Amino acid sequence: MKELSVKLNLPCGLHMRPASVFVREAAKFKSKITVFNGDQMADAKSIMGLLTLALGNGSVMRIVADGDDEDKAVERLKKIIKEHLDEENPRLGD
Amino acid sequence: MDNLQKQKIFTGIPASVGIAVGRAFVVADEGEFCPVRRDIEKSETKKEVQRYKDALSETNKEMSHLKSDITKTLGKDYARLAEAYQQILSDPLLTRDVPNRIAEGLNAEYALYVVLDRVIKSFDMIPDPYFKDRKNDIEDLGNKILSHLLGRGKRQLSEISDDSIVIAKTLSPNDTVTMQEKHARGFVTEGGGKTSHISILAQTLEIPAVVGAIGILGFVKNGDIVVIDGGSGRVILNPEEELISNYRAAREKFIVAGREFEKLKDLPAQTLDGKRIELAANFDNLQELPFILNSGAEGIGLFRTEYHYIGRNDLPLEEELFESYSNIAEKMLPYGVIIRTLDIGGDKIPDPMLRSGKGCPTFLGLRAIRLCLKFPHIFRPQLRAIMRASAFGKIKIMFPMISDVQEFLAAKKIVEDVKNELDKEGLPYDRNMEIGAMVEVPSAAMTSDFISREADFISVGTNDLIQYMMAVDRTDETVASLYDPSHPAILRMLKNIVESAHKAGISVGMCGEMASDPSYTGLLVGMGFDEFSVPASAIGKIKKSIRAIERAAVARKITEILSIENPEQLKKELKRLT
Repeated sequence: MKELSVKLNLPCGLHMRPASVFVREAAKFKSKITVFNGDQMADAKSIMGLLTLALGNGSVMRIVADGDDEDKAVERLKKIIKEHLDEENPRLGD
Repeated sequence: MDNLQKQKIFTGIPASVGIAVGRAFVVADEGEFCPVRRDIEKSETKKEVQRYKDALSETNKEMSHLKSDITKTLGKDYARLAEAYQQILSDPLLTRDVPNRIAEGLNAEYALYVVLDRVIKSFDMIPDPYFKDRKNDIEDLGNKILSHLLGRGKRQLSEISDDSIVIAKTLSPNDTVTMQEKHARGFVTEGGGKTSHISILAQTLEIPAVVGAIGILGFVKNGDIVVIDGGSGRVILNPEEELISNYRAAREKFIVAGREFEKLKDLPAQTLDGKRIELAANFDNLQELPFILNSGAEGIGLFRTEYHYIGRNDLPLEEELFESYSNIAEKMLPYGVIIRTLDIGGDKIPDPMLRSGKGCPTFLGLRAIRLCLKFPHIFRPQLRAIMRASAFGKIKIMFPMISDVQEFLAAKKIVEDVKNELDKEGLPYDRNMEIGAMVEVPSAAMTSDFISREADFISVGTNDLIQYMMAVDRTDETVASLYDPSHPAILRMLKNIVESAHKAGISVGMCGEMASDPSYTGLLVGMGFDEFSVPASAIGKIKKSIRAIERAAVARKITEILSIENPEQLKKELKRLT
């Protein structure tokens, strides 16, 4: 099991667009990946689940991966959050 | 077609003038998301899972179509919702959990309900309004899948033909654009009011429309012959032959009148005794610009700026606004543009700072100038963009929802600050740009003399003014009859406003529904209004009315009219003026 906590620096929080980027990446791994916001948890591969966590700006997102590719998964998701989501302008991909 | 079908008449709220005869295209009501539980035999579950998977892929297809349609008509930015829906469709909750529940012996509809209901309930518990609102998306999508399961996929508006009259519970502004492109003959909705955005857009695009036709969906079937009269609000299902021919004749007359307005296009809006009225058009979004340029309007009298802020995740940048404003102002030359600063509540503004705010702003809450004064990071970029654009065209600036002169002065002060900023940066702008106030709050109307001393012009927004003065919510159909522009209280207030403005030597205009109703034109011109801003489609008829008025004669009757107590008699007198 591999674990990571990140503080979100996203002006609008993990809203629909960044969440969908995150889910797409998570779905690429075989490991079971769970995201926590406090004691609330959700499947990282489920966009609906992730949105119900209501991860607002500044909240701490804990990612737990369990499986063969758990190391890679956590590394990759960390990178995604830092590089692709952590932008001042949340209009991704435009 | 079917002579056995009985004629049935509905009366709704007239939303956009014109007469249309066509065939009903019913947009199915989505209904409540609450299916019935049925137990499935073990031997049947495989089939049931397949049925569910088919519905998922049908829904996915529907979203692909929607995406490409929206991209074509409104641009890629608007297609995001369809994209988001597609991603939700591939959520394991839908692709894995629902089939698992079906395998346990539940019918597909109920399995879908059980899974989504849990998600929806978790959204309900979220305090943050942004995340909470995603519940609506999930429900909407659930309904879409459900309607495919039930074999009644929502008919796509893109399937309408040129003899269609669209009948729906509600329609979005995007739907209106699609209808115009597909040459639908008209539309009828059960919800909505005359001043809702869909009505305003229908007027601009010149599609006959009736809204608030409650109960019609219970009777209409696809393909029924329908007549709609957007002037009176009447909708007739399966009309008798005679009625159809009467309406066809009326339609001809309407078209002839249209041609007559066309001839007036290049003539001034001037009364018989030579008073020149400035007749300008309202602007909601870019799609309307060609209509405005072609309408004979002398400029834009109400540039609604909200469209840059709605349907996105971030605030527009100053550069983006500047490009847009300067481009439009340039196109409108030699005429001017009155830009109204942002007029929405915080719930519609894509800014994270506002999301943490409590509750949903109401009509009486933090919106328009109140919001702009409180949040300079929203207001300033827009002001800078407007000021910078003023170097490229004739721009005036107008503040909405001003409550009193202090508020107006506070807004003006910020304009001064921006001017200093631009001077320092060496950016050009029109130093003599006029700054005006919208008078639409009763307190501002009562003290319009104070405001008139500080403003370069004022414009009366009747939609809000009537709503606030009569204490009537204009979207609530049950109290709609109280929303009466010819109520003596409103007429007296209007006269008071005109007098204050003229005493201060400034021009007074009217933007709002009342200005585009020709039955009031005589009265308003007689009171002394100098300017009107109306939807592009109303320019012709208002110009025609203005050109038939003997202003001095009407002006003499105003005092008499304002002393009439009986509303029926008052309406009769008003009729005589035009």
